[in-house]
Amino acid sequence: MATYSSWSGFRFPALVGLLAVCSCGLGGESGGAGGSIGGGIGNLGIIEHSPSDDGLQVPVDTTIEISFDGPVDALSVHEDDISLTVGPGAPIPGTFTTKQGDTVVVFTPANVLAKATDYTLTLQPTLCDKSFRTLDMTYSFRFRTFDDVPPTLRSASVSNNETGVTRTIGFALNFDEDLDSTSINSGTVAIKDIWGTPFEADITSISDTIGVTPYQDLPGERRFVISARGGPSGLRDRSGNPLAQNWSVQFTTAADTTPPTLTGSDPGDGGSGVSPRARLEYTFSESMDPDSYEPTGLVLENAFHNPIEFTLSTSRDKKVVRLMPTAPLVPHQAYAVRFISGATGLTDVSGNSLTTSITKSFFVGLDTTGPNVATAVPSSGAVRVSPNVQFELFFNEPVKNATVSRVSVVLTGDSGSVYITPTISHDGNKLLVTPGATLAQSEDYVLRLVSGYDGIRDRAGNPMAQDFTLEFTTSVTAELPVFRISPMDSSAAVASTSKIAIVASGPVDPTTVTDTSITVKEVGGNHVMGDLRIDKGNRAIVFEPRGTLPGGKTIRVTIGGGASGVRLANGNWTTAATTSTFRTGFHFDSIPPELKMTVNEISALRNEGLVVPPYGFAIDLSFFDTGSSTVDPTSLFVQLSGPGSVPTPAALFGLTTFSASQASVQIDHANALATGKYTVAASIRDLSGNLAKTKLIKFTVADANPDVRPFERTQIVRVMFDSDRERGGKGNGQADFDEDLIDLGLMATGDPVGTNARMRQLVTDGVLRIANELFGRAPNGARKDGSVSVRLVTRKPCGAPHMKIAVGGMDPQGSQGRGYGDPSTGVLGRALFDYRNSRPNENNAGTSPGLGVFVGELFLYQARLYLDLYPHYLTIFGRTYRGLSPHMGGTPAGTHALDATVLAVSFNYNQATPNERVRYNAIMKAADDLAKVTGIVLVHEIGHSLGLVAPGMPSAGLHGDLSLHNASTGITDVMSAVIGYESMVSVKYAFRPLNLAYLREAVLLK
Amino acid sequence: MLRIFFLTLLVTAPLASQKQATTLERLTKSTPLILHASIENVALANETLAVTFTPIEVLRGTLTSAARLVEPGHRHCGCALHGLKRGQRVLLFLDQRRSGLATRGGGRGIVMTDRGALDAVRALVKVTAVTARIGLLVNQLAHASPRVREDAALALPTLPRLETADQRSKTAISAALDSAAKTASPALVGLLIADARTTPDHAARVAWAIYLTANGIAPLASRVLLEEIPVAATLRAAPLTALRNDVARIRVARLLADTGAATARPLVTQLLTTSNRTVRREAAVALLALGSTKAVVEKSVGKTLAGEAGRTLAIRKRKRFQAIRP
Repeated sequence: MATYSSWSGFRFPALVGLLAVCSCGLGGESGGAGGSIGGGIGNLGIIEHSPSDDGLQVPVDTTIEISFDGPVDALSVHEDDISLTVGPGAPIPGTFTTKQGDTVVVFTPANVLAKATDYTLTLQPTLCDKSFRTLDMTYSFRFRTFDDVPPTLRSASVSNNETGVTRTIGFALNFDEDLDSTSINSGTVAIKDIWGTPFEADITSISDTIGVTPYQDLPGERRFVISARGGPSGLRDRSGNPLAQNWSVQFTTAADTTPPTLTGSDPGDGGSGVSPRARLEYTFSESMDPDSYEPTGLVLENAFHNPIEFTLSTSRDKKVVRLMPTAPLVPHQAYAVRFISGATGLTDVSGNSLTTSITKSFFVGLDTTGPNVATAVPSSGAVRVSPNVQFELFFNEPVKNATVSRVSVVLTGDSGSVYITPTISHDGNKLLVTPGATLAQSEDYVLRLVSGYDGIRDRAGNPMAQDFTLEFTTSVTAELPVFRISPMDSSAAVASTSKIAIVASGPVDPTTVTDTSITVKEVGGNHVMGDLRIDKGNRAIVFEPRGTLPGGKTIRVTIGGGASGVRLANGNWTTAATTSTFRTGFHFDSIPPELKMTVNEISALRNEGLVVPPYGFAIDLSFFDTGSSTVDPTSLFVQLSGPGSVPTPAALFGLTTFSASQASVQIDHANALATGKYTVAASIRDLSGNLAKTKLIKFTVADANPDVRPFERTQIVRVMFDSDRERGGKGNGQADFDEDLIDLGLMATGDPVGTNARMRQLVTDGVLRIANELFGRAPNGARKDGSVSVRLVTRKPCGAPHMKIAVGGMDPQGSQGRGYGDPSTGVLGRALFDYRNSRPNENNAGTSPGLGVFVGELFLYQARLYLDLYPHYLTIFGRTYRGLSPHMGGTPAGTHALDATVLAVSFNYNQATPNERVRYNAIMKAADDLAKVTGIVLVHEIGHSLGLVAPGMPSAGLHGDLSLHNASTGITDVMSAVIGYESMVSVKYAFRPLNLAYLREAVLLK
Repeated sequence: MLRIFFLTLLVTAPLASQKQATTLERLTKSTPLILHASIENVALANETLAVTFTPIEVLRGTLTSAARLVEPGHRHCGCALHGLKRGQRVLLFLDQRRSGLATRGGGRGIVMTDRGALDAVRALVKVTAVTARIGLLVNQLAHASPRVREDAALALPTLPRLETADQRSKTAISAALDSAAKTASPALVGLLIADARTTPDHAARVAWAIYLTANGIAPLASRVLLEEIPVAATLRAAPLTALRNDVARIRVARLLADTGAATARPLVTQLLTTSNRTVRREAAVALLALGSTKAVVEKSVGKTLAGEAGRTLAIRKRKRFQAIRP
């Protein structure tokens, strides 16, 4: 059984078994919702399935079984809703059966599945059970059939016997299937030269491709072999089949005649204070060959030209040549390193020697002690470490910048190494280590600073004597604190009678609130003396100045970030300090602030008679004082009175989220109210203590039973772009929407270059994108927090009752046979009104009355207006479509010489000619405008069939007028009776808050 | 019980969404039959709502069929007859079809009448010359009836030769726009475009003010400034000296860039004097967009900022669409 954190938000159920699909509602079944159509509550859930996700060695004669938490509707047991595919291919044919009371769907492929093949089973959002609950999400899993086929190498980025291959790039080996990543290592994949000398390489893998990147430059004009080992100890696929046999490819690198150059040295030329124990490092422009070393070609000598014995090594990329004297150098002595050009000199890996000899000298000092970490924040052994931690490590002496790298500083957790960015301060004393991503919760980590000559060294060149390790454990939650300071940043003329108030996003750890973690200072001046106190369940921090704030000063409040700053009770901290800088005036404030309160952001004009569910609604407050900057959010007092036990003001403060000058109290499941009449009262003070006038709102809490809820389940809406309804519904054989696109010039009669389908898809997808966004959903219809339970589909869904709405063509109630230049009925759409969405199966595709979205009427009216005004005035519509619509003398998309290019999926705008861009922009702007307009009208009409806008006042109505539209609307209201073309293509539309609250089931109609 | 209840409420509403298509001006121009009538009876039977009426005055056309309107009893977006009551006096804009009378524009074709509305419609029926009609609509901008007032505002921009209106009319349109801008009323769109056609400098000032509020209707103001108002007027009205914060300066720079007019460069240059780096970068983007050379921009803002501006402009050059994803 899934449990739900919210009944009206959508809704994050606890995972049970394999998967529990999100659901709205109070859970459980219901005998019936509104009207004659009964049904369950919430969404359909998947319990488990076989094969499992990423299953391997699945028998080729397998059946696929999916277990649901309800008996699946027979019409859903169909490939429209459940499909097995290979890649993006067509569904695999087969038969569907059910068992266990239809809660388990079994798909039996018609034929034995192919061996060694990846299959994907996809469940569509419209899949529903017999109580009409839908999945309302796309779910898919993949499996691989029995595989005894060895992997084969499909291609390599270098071909056999290729010559002139670049010496400094990596190579890619592509296989015909994903490989087992554990089989990929330097033992199974290698690069060697023709004499069998191995070259170290970085071996990586991404799905079916292995990357081989030699660490060093390859020698020029040399023959190489890249090999992949086959057999039992070689590469293998995910099913365990080894590469059948060894594979290799030979190639020859390009010639390299470029001599190396010295690009850096450590110590620098003429450097002093070098450690007697220093390792001397010289960096070249390319990889050097240590085997080319001859004692006369590379010399370390003292001031008396006596050679000093050393051992030679190189970095992994061989670009850094390292000289390690075998005995400590003598303090206060001068030394020189000489690289000789010519036959005995050190060469690059291709044998090129330096063009000129180079000498680098330095002076040795006394320092032979390596650096140590003096302090670290957080310290080793820390617990409750914030997942955004940045480490600050302070050394006892400056360290050499070049020695700080991801090799010398390493962070590892339970799940492996973590990408970090180590940065040393300019003075070399402080190391900042920043993880590349937020760390996992409740996990043990170790930060390690590597000792030795490959680790961190001081500026004299002395290495750390031993590794430094810092062990810590992260906190249990990823939630980071947010602190809001009043007066707000940049406030001016703040009254000297003000205190300073800080509200935290959660309870703080009181031990971290100190006069060092929170400072109040005049900018460029002294600390402001005062006292800190913590209140309101440790969410409020108040700084009371001793006396008044100094007048005419700029004051900065700083809340420290990081481990030593203010932390939440869970341990987490802000990455950076939170500050507010404001300027004080010289006045005392005696004017109270203003407070506004709404329920669900519903205007005060419309909040009388509101009915809300027991939980899942919000009390919203906005407050302002002079400049909206000096209200004290910590003083917010919200009190509920009503039947039974109600949350206390302290509990309500705990539920409150704050933004700049607003607050929202979310009544959640844990604080559900009993049914009955309530009054909420709220007050707030400014920072000088002046009390705002108390605000009151009365509302009623009612059971959110299925009879009053508009969405017991997800409402499916079939958007019929394919409707064909001329001649009283008989049609003419062509979709009305296609005819609209042809009239508007977005498709071409005869489809001369095959672009019509793409244009139709672009526009219809755009329409749905706009509609989904207005319903608070992702562009593809996926649920989001706070989204409306409406799922738009473009095909016939399962057997669940669903709304149908035709899109395209003219108003069936207008005169037949109208065309360009004829009058419009002036009606863009028409839909059935359904109070409380009691019938989920409205048919808004009928012709008597004529229902649907009438794109053709938009065209007729705008065309008529264009004809009336042109050339006196060119309307926005005229500007957009006269270049395209055949009626207006335009060239429709698909008929211009450039259209095959600009309408191709592969069209690259950045590489297009100016003319191509002009044509592309003209077509796409017209398509975009049409999609926006149609999307808004579509949502408006669907809104009517969901119960908008119920006439009258709450608790029976939603302030709709007799025409079922919002009265007194602005320009951006979806449910306005007034929707003009110019505003639709320009302005972002939205539902009025009362309408949206109804759609989110945050208000109810009794 | 519930089902019956819903059946009675399941009535159909049209999205009189094309309100500009159903203004009194448009209805009086194109509707063949216009009546002033009194509602005689309203009857809901067999899921059909029938309204019979008694003509009081025929303002246009000839009534050749029964004085009766019918629509489905269930309510829908755009239903015309629901809410009508016996004895009410209405103006009816009607088409006569074989099936009987039908209102033009659904519910928008039925207008509750008072003396003022009736006179307004009478005048619109009578006056057909465009110039006179402009004057009439301008007068109706201050009409007592909200419907008459709003329809006049929405209809004005749909009239040809509006640019030739007399000065009194132009002043009245500007005044009405000033008033509508304060409330963001639906009439705002019509008045803004009408004013742009008659007094572009004034419209530009209003549009800039709306644009800088950055609220939901700011994109409309942007479109008007860029498409409806001559560029010269848009530039003349650019409120550079009145900008109160850097966000406003950034918005101004962006819109000036979108004008594409080289004459906007001196205005953009003024924004370079600000200390805010983001504003200066935005101004640099605008200068590049308006055709300034990289060298000139580098001289003004330095290489780093000019480089950032160049990259930003390259990203912005490709038009982004709100609905479609080509």
